[in-house]
Amino acid sequence: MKVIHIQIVRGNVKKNYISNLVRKEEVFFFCLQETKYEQVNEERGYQLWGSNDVDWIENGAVNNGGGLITMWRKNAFELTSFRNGRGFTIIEGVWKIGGQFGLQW
Amino acid sequence: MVGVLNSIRFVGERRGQCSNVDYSREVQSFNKFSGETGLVDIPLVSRKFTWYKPNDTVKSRIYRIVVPPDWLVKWSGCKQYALSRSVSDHCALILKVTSIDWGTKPFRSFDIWQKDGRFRDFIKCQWNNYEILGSGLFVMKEKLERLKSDIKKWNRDVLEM
Repeated sequence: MKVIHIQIVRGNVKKNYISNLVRKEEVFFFCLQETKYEQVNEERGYQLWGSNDVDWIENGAVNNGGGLITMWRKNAFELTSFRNGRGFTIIEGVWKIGGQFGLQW
Repeated sequence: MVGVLNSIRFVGERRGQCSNVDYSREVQSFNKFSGETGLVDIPLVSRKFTWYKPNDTVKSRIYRIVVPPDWLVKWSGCKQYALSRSVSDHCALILKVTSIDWGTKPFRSFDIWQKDGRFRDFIKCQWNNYEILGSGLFVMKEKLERLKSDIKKWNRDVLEM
């Protein structure tokens, strides 16, 4: 089980950094702030994660400031509800992974 | 919970140009928050701070991941790793469970083997049948290694354990 948090802004270098990190660390759940994105469409989300095995909840940037995105591997986590507020996102869901080391599916 | 808590848990978690600033109130407020929510801090390994000013004069552990105590029951041995700064002056935090590598498994002998009349003959027969070339020490090491896996097989096939 791995959860990642990073502050980042726009730019291909940073996007590649993220998708590389997700792949290298086999990330299940990922939180990003200062995305500067008002909206994350499918193409952008898949690109950020590096694959389409992903779901996300975004809390869009306002006037190019802030922006949160919470992403997770679809076969690791299932969303049941969420709430976005100013500067925060609350995610509720169920881990589909278990076991002592959280690695068995 | 993940994010900028903008507060520190110990005085040593922030270094700044004004080293005489009293951070104890901040520490108190973090501990109060932790007490009220029940969220606990997870040990940070690999570096001490999670944010650095580009010239390193100011550094702090403002980002952290805190979890409810049940989390540690489900995923024990979970640690926070701060990655190196690369594309940002903020370090990515990774929360992960690293399984502990205890090294090579020791070989254990069971009393029941000694009691079984066939065991001695089996060992003798196997030991003399291995054909290994090399120095004496090497031959012995190789023989012991093969014997180990043959005993395991014998244990499974003959004793059906």
